Amino acid sequence: MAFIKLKNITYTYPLAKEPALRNMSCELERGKFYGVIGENAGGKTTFCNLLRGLIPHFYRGELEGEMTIDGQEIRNIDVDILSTQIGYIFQNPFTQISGVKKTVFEEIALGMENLGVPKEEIIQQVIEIAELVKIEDLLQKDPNQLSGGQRQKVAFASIIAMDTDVFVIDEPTSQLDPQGTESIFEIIDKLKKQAKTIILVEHKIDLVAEYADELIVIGQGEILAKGDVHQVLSDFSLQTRGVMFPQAALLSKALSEKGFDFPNIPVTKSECIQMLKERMR
Amino acid sequence: MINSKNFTKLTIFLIPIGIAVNVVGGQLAVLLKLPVFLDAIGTFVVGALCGWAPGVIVGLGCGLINAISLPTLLPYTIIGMLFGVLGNFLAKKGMFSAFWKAIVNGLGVAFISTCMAVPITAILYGGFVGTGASVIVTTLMTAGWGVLPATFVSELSTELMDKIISMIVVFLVLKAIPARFVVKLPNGKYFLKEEK
Amino acid sequence: MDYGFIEKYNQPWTSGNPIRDLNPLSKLNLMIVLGLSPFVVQNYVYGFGMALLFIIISILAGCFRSFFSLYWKVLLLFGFFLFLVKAAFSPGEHVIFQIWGIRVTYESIFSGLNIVSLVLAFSGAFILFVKTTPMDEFTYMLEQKGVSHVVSFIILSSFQTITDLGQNAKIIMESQKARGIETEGNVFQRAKAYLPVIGPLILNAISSTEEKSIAMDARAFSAPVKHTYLMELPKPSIKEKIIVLGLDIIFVLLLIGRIVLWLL
Repeated sequence: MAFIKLKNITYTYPLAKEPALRNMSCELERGKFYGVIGENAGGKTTFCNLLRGLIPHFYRGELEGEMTIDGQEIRNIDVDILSTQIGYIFQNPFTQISGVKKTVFEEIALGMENLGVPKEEIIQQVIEIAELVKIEDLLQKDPNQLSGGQRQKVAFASIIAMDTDVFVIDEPTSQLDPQGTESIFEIIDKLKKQAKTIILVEHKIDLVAEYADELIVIGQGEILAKGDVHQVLSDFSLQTRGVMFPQAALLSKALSEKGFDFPNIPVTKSECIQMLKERMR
Repeated sequence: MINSKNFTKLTIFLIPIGIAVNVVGGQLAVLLKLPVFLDAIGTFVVGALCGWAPGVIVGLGCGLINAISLPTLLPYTIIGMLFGVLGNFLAKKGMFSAFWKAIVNGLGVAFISTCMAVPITAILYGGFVGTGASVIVTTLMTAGWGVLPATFVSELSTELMDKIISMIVVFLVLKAIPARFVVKLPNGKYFLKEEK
Repeated sequence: MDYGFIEKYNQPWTSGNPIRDLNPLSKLNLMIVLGLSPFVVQNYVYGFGMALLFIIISILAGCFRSFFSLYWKVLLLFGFFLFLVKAAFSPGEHVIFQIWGIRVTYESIFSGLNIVSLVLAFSGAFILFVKTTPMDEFTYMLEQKGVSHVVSFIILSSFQTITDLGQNAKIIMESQKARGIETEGNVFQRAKAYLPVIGPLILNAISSTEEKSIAMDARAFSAPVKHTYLMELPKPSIKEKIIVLGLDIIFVLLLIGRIVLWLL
């Protein structure tokens, strides 16, 4: 059964004239990794706020249509309890540092303290997560004195340390260099292998295409496409709707325009190389 | 449909900001060598936006933090707390809707706070506040004035300047906060009349 | 990677200094009792003795520098100037000398010494408490006594926000200077510089609360669960409890004595 179900969801922020989400319908399953892509200001973050129950409970405004999370109607959900089930990481690393802890170690521990995790487990988990996110050397530092990129990693670590089953992650790499970005994706991949459900908004399409199971394309408040990565990325008409395509797909498109046909459209570098090799033989 | 406890959530996060705005606003006035304190702006803003109780908490927290660097300020905390109540009251009366009202607010608040501060300064500290205003007080007392009138005159003159500028800043800040944010706050209804 | 520092979390937090390691609530209790006792005793020698005691305690607690960096201002402003003002203007019969409106009498000098001793003793207690008690340890103990974690958050966050906004104010001021706004010059020019700094500062801070609230929510800030704590403070020793209780009893007896004397 689908974990999150949307049926004809339309949502308008308070005092806004235009709806931010229009007639959205989709189903998300447990244990899958969904990449959310699309043009800027197209409604991706609003979509995340909806999945996290912040719409309508925090933002208010007008919500039409039906939506359930784990079988529960969104309007009746207690967001405080939902916060213990769905981890939420968003863009701005500065507001995600609590400002009430003296060290990164304690900062990462905060969420677990609030969940009532026993102290010994907290200590164990903080070390494990710090090693996973590669921030061991930050553990004794003051989280309020870190750079944007360091804060982003700490914020990311703080949420995944809470070990919820579902993670909604909105552009977690905006402040990171390519190396940092790659390692965040590796961690998300590990989470997926632990059967976590992941909804990730991310501009870096090459990486999304490599790791995600399914893509959800959002533009102008609507779901423009949803489905398997290969299926969605073979529809080049989405380019006109502000969707970026992975380099592999663009290369194959350029080559096929020159009469160099591919069996299907590759979305990752390795797929592309594989196909080229077979073709060359 | 909307969970009422979510109304108070933003308030929790605005209280530390109100306290910090008071403290940093005061520091900035010192830095610019202004002859006024400007250390209650946050109290008025939070009182106006979130209600009297959060305003009072901001006044209390700010008073306690100021007292760390000068514990003799502690008795004046009660006045800072009252500013939270006044902020809420003025918002309810729609007194943040025009510039001229800011001046009226400044006059009223200055008068009230002087009436409360004078007994503290005169009785507890014999007219001595430890700021530049003490010079005025001692000069007047040397000229034969009693401690109460001397303190009243000196406090009122600084308070008038301080509170009129403060209330102008509060007015401009409240005016500049986006409506979509104000609507989520407990006192939002007092600020959104013209929208409907 | 050396995880030696996590040992700190496996045991109660101590600093090794017996004064600083007193329980925060014991310290609060002692501050109130010792700081207010001069008001009950009403003898300036006692009051000055207390002030001296707090200076000595600050040395023993190894925080004399940070203590005195605040206390000297009180000593100067209120120990010296307040005394002068009181001595010059308080009423009295036995005139020592008189010039213009100034009239120094025995009574005014004693009234000056009295008020100054009270101010110095209470201020000393207050600053000493703040300087020997890390705020996170204090809020931890409050939560242990059943105070809401929201109160802890407000207290701790206020201090951090002051630091953050102070830094932002500097940045905004620098950029306004670069745009040609005068931050020096006469008082009107400086006053005009105030608004372009404080305005954006407040508005930015206020608009960040929305995300801050979401971020803290994501950390289960409002989850209806009983919290656990990484921090652990040593249980107050029997000796500590006896000292605090003893001083409390003495204070109450003094208070009763004072009230009885006053009624008679």
